[in-house]
Amino acid sequence: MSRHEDEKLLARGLHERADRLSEYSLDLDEVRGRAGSIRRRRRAVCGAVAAVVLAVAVPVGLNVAATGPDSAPLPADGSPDPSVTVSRAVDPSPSPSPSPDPRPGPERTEDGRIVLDAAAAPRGADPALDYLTGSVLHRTDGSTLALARRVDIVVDLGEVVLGFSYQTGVLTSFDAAGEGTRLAGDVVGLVGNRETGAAWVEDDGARTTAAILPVAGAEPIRREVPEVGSAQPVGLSADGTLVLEGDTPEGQRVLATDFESEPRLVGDYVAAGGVTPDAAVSAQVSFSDTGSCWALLQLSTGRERWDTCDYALGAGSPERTLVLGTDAYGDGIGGSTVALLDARTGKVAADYTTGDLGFTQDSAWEPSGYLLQTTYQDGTWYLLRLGPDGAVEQALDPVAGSELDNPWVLGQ
Amino acid sequence: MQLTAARQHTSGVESMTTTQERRRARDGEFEDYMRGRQPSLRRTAYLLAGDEHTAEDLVQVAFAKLYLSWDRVRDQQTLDGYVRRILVNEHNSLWRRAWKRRELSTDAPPEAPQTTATYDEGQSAALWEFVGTLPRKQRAVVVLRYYEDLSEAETAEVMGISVGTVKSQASRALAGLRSRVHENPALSRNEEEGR
Repeated sequence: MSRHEDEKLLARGLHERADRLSEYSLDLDEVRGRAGSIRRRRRAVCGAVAAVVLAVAVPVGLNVAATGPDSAPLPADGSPDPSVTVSRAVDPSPSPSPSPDPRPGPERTEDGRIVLDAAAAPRGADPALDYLTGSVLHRTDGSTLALARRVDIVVDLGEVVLGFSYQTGVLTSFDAAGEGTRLAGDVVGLVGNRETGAAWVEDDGARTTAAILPVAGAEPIRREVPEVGSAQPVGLSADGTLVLEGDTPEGQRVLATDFESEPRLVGDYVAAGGVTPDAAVSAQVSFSDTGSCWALLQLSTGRERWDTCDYALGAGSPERTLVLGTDAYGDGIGGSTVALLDARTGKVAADYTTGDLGFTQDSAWEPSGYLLQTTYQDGTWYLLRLGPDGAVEQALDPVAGSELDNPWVLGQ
Repeated sequence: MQLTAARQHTSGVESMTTTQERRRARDGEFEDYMRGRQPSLRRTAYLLAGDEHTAEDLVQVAFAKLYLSWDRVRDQQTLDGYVRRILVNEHNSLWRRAWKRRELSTDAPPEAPQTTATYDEGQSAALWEFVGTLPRKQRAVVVLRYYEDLSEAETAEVMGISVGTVKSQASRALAGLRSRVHENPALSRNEEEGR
């Protein structure tokens, strides 16, 4: 049979099977009841988190109020030391000398979460991280580079810029003039940055291969990922270890490879949200209908540093102090929770919520440990800078547009 | 003073009435949308999940989440894609697979659906069995591409994966189908008869 015949056969088989379904109709009350149940569960989860945040954040607010939304813009180039702030933020002991007249901190919900009101945030410094608008790469030194074509993921290696297009599956290497050369095809994802190099996964439908380009100009090193139906790159640590998610015969699992030896399973974890520069991985350990539990796992030892059932975990910050937390319970539209967690202990440094104002989408760490977060609110996209001290500011001017058209692609 | 209080009271009642009316209008809009979209969404859910019970649950959760987000989804033209994305995300979420495993291990096997079509049952059964063997992601790609008739780009958008992954997953599924033909001639019979 030809491919076209195979496709026709499958289509016909699926239609025939679907047409057999009996009649059944949901009514609005059933849906409203289910919606109420989901909302209660979400609140129950969030309420438990909020109690922890309140316990640790109130004394801190007195000390860090000067970095609140109405204060001077946050430095964006490495001057703040989030490790100090975090250690204060998660220390539940009362402040020894609270100011008698503190300036107002960020607005909070009744249960103590920081309200992520993008429109109300002041404009701060431009991003300390590369980003794309359309096909133009904006670099942190203020220069721009017009790439020959649009890409969906970008890794700036300095001499060259790698760009990956979801549409074509092509990985392109762009030179200093923005001219592109095809580096690989059948690519399914790209991770990395100037410090770690870049890594990606190629999948031609028969074979899955992980590849790494440690530095610009080098030849990619490839390593087959055997016995997986598919794999996605999750993150690359500073020591060159690539973490992947793959469909194995046992189901979805987390794998890691240093490209010296064959990719190996990482415990029996079922998903990964990101890596930290010091080779820890945010790994999903269990799941339930109200969310899931995650752990920050040291790859070299297999030991869990800490775990949480309050957030899904993401990537670690470049200066190694924080890990991203997002909604443990997601749906299709985007997130409403962004939490910055202490990478050492898992304690909450700052917990932001959009509430019903809008939703969050992509995020990336600046070198200094502040998080850049794209947010959609009232028909407008915002790029926000969030700090472990609860500060919020706009890192770029807002852009009005459809909720489906995020105007920025953030570097990594 | 009394006049002010009365005005405030009247204003409060009006405000409450307006809120209720707004809610009723909102629910009416939602219900209309749900009624129109439900049959096709349920068929997709069935093909993704493999049994009616899970499909109904998936559709209910998808509409419940849409209901919660109804005010946030401003662009009404994107609703179909949005609710489909929730459905696929829900199906892909791990807890549901765990839940399904529990169901299957504790309950009696699901009853075979009644045949209402004149289609070759041997081939149909073999195809359905084959679809049941596909990994989660491959199965979703197959359903979206060959049942929903979405393009590779649309499928990628719904699943939040790259077009390359859609292509490779579809290729793997079709390769699996071809290898099954050798094991199960029923899969190719209809094709040969149709020539």
